Amino acid sequence: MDASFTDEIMRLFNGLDELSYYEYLGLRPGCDYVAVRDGFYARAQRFHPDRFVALGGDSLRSAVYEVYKRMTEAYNVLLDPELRVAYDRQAGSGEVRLSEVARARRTTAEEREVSNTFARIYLRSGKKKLARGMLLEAWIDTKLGLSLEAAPPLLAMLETIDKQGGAR
Amino acid sequence: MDERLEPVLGIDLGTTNSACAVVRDGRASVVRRGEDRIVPSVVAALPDGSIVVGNRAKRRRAVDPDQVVFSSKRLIGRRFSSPEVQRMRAAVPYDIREGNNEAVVVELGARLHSIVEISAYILTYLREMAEEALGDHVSKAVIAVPANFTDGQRSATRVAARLAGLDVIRVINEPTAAALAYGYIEDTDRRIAVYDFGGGTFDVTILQITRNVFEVLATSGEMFLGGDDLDEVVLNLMAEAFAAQHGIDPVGNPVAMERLRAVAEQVKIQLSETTKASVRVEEVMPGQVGNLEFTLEDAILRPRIDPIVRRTVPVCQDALRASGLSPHQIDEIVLVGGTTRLPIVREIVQEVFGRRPQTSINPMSVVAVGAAIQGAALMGSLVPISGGGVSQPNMSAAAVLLDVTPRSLGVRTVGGYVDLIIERNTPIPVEQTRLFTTTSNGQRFVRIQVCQGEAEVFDQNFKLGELMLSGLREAPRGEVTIAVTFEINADGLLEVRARDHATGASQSTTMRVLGGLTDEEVNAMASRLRRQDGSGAGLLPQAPGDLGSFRG
Repeated sequence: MDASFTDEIMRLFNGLDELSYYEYLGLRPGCDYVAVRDGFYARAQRFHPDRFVALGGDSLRSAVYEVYKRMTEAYNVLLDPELRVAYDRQAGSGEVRLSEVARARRTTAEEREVSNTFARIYLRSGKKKLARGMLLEAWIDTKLGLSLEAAPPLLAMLETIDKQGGAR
Repeated sequence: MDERLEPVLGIDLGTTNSACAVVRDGRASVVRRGEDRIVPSVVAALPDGSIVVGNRAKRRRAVDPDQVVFSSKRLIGRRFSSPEVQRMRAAVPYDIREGNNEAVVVELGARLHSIVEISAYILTYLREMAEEALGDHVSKAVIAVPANFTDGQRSATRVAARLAGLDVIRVINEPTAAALAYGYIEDTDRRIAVYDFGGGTFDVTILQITRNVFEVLATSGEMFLGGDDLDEVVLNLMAEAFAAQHGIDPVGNPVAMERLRAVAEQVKIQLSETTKASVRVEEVMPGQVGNLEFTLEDAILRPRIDPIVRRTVPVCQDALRASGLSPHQIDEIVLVGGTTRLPIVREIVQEVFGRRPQTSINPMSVVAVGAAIQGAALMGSLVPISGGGVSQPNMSAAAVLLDVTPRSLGVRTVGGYVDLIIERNTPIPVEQTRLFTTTSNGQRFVRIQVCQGEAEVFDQNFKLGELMLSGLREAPRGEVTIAVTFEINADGLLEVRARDHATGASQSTTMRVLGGLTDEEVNAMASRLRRQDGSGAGLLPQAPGDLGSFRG
């Protein structure tokens, strides 16, 4: 194993209390959701514990495991619009993780019917806009969501919007 | 590459048949023993109490049916009271009973065996078969399980492998393994339908592969639909023919029926390749004259099995609906299971998805091959590449397979609802904690019930187990906070921990898995198996073995 790669793992492992979610995924704050996914996928290819099954000692393996778990946590938070807002709000507070309480959100049964993460984001954001009477914006979100996945909750939302006079 | 690198056995432990494969010298091969590449997942006790596995055990069905355990995969990791176990009790001749902790045990050779032990016999047989073929010690394995296996079923399978002397470096989903065998890992953004029509079960899984992330979009299945049902059709035709030839109906004679059943399966297999099959069965009724001459044409069988094969259609449609995809959005269809060799099955698959399925790898060994490829990739010795082959090692380009949790995990809360802790399709390994409070004054303990599934109501999901956290400090309700942590490791196995959050006291406990085994039970089994193995002969009968190419 490459020594500089080992150093990088140990830097991330020793930084569990200091480095932000963005740093774990190699992202700039303010990047878009596609960048979050790409960042995570790229990191996963390098730091997934599977890569270390046959390599290194136990201490390296357990360090990688902890680092990778933080990466999945970062991914789960940064990919969720609400959790990400909550996380960004606490920036500079010295707390590098979103608290357990804040991370413990509930998705609705409807949201879980949607497999595609981005389609799920559009569903949630569309629902909110619809509740505020922003028909056109909700319609756009719904259409964008549907372009990714023809999920029943998105289809139902489109129907609701159409009934309320559609996008016009 | 280090030549001395120990091979990793890829194992498909099927409901009806099992197979194993290894990657050597850059090629994946199915482990063979003589002509046999497939081992029936059958365990039997001989009159002297010794245990046999595979074809030898399967042949015992015609002699001593209540001493032959088959389809044990339907029982593994399940609670005795579950509908699946109760249904099996009514359907099989061997004796299924309730053991400790709601576990399932079977009687075999005048002794009770846990289902884990039965699986361990099959896995031991596979390990010995591989060792004989490779001429090398085998101790590492990747084992494939159905995508819809619960955590309890996965852990039980893992324990069985440990008992069989195998260190499981990864538990992989069967459809993922099948896709890996076809080398889809390097491709980007593909959607694959894995149509798995085995001996006893039918499953269809829709996978999405986005840059090496294997997401299970949907999985749907029928637990009691498989090649056995088609054998039954052939069997009935054979019984009718025998009655017409000899004026005696063999239906009431279980030994005669078992004898015919073994041949019925052969007839079906022949009809996968030709349009007409002829067989002769000697002495159908033991001790009585009466041979059966039987010829069956594809054209006769087809209309009779069509309604059975068509039962897979709504299951496919259900999976498509759940994945939010239409048939034309599926890029590839992968066939798994011996039943998919029948032309009529392939035609119906093509009808449903509107395209021809992939058939270049033997559907009976494709899962084992995929598991072996994943094993080699994990050891860093090989990298799967497109086209079903494997390339030389190249760590910088080695692709990692990212698995996600196929189903959400949660705990029961007030009113019988579920609070999800880890949602489906979350990349693993992952750790997530949720906080709960006590619900009554002076409450000294909490009972945390854990389930897997998507329903809002706890009882509609699959209950995995529960844990008790006791010794809480006495306080008014709501003042004691309990942190429940779920951790899913790279194998998709769940560990649940609970601790008293407010005091910081590491009052912690781990989950009791329902239908699971205690450490003492596992240790007792391990020593029993060692004794069985002590003769040096193991479970394998004496016969030559070799390693065959999986395409052969």
